[in-house]
Amino acid sequence: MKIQRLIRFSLISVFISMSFIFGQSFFSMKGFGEEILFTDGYAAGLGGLTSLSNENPAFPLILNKTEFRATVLGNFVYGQQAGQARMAQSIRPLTVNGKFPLPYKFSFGFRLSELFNQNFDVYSDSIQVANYWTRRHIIGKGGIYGLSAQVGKHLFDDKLSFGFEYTKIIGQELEQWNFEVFQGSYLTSDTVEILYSAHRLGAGLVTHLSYFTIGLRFEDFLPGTIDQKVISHNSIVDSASGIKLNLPNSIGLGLSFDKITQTILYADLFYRNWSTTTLNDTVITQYVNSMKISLGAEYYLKENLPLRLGIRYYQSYLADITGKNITEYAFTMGSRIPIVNFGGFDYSLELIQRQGRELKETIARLNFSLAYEEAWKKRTRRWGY
Amino acid sequence: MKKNRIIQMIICIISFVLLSCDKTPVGYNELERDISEATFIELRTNERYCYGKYIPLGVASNMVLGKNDNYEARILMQFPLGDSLLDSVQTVKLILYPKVHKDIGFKIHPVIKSSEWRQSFATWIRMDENVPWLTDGGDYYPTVLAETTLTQDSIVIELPRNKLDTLVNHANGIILIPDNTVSDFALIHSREKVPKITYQYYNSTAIYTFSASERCHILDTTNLDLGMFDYWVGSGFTYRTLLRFPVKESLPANVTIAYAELLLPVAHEFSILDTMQVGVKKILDSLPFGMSTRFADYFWARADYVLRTDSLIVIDVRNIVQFWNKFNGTQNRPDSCYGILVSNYPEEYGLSRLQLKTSAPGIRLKIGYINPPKGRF
Repeated sequence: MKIQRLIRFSLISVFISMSFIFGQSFFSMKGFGEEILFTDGYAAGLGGLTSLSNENPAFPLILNKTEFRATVLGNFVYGQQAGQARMAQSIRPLTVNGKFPLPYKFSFGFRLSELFNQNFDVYSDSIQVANYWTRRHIIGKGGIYGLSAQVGKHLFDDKLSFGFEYTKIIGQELEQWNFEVFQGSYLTSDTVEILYSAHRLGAGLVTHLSYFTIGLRFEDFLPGTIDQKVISHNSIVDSASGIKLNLPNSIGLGLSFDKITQTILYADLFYRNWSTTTLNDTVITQYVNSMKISLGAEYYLKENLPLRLGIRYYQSYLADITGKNITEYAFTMGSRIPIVNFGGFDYSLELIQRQGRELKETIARLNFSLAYEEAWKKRTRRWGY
Repeated sequence: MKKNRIIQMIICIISFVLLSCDKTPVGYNELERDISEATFIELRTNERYCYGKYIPLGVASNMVLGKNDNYEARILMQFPLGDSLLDSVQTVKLILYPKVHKDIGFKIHPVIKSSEWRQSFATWIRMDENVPWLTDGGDYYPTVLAETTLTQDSIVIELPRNKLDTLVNHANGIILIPDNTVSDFALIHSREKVPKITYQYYNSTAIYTFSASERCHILDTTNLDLGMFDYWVGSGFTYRTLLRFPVKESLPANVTIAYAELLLPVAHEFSILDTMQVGVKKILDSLPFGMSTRFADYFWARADYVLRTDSLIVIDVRNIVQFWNKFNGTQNRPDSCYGILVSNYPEEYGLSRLQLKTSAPGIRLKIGYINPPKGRF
């Protein structure tokens, strides 16, 4: 049995390591890329919680342990368009965060997470121009990331907590524009390099009332800048530095209900006001406000062994080439494996259908979060021996 | 059962990987970056020039010996021969290492002592950098040191003992001259296997070897006139063709050159080898072409040409055209777009000549370019 497990584990490892190619979403080359709204296996298993998850600086309501959490995302996309299909995979770190309880019921946290994913990998059709067959292959790598510091305060016997968050936003994307002429197999490559810099302030609140836990979260992006360069043969042929960027605010509301034995029900709403996004003080009219609605349930098969299920509807801020908004429906499931004297391992599987009018993506997304949790105990010195 | 499960998993993995390797254009049109198609253009020369020139051949790895209706090739060699105990020398031998076997009859003459030739500069008409031979083709005594035929992998020629003093004290090396009846060429190693002269003394089995310190071949053309509208490329006696294309006028600024090939149709060919390479150098002068037109020292691109098989030389000149266009439209454009020189690569190797066809479609430069990409914002 052990050998069989080992073989299975090895094959899965090979499978995952083979997926180290670029390309996550076929839509992430647009706008600021794919919006990442939740970043760990716990939140993902419950449909994608934002306000009742580590995204909220006031979460968790009761913090009596030091927590570290690292999440890795495996993403498998099957894209379909006009009778053609293509698969792309990726595996990448998604977030690292830690929270520490402080005296007087304060807490401190930090988080490094991905906010927008700009990875993509697309091919053009092979076309014939003047008797030459040509094709483009465009690869984008990078994204926008946030490094956050959080401070929280827990009140009323841990019935209420609130917190504030400052996030330094940095980002870089490198696009490689390959152009291939089949005759002679000539390959030409140009580069687009984009740097992002901004700040974000956030505030959150979590409270427990009767059987309900309520989470509220608000984010306010401060003005930032974008530097963009188009590099061709080591020469910058086009550059724009200091493009003024104003990203939109967002608000989230989460609710959980724990009256039913061994079961917690969740509902989560997220809304981002994308229609106010400006570049150089000009509103980007093609963006629409994004919205996510998640519903989830957590059932404890045993103590410390939850089974998580969820569904999600998400409307992206982006529209496809035809002008139709990109929407997403997801079914999620997950669980947690407790690790003695360490913490736990949260994992989830999301099955996502994302589509515009022509392009449809079927996504299987795996979230693996390894959590280290340790109580800070006061040691009492014993005398006399 | 367990084996079956494992096989199924492996099949799944392979299928998954194969599926992910496809290159369908799914999602491409979502880029929305106003991507223009590639543009392909074909340029004709707006200036052409060709000339032939004697060049020193001392750096060649092989020396050519022979003659035909169009060329004659001779070999010069110099040995640091010891001049002591010459009376005790019993036999003197010259050892050559032919690379390409041909029956080439030739005579060996001592070079006149006062003709101080150097391999780095010697040509048919010059013995040194700016010093001409007294007689074109080398100054030599009529004395024949040996007369033989080149036939084997290594050829040993016994030189007359009584001419040793002439060779050592009254000559500046030797010259190998093909017989008038010869109508072919042979290659003799010059660098890999250096020609030698050996002494063997009386009452001694020891052999003293002197490797050639200077050696080169010199070449001349006979009955070979370059017509006014002929464009040749040649090695040995070098022919160079200079071409200028209206690239600057034809390409927009900042485009990326995806494809650029120089197409040289061949009308006539001659070579003592089966294959040759043709290369291009960047011209550094904007002045009208002439024999004094300056060009870069190194070849920027080159291509193979197989005799009796190919009829078109295709040279990838994408980097050159990209270089030309890199500074197009800017003021700080360096030595750019002044044209290219086409010649054999290397010019000193072997003996060959290609005539480029100028009738349609003729010499042309095919370029494909794309506009630079647009950023996200």
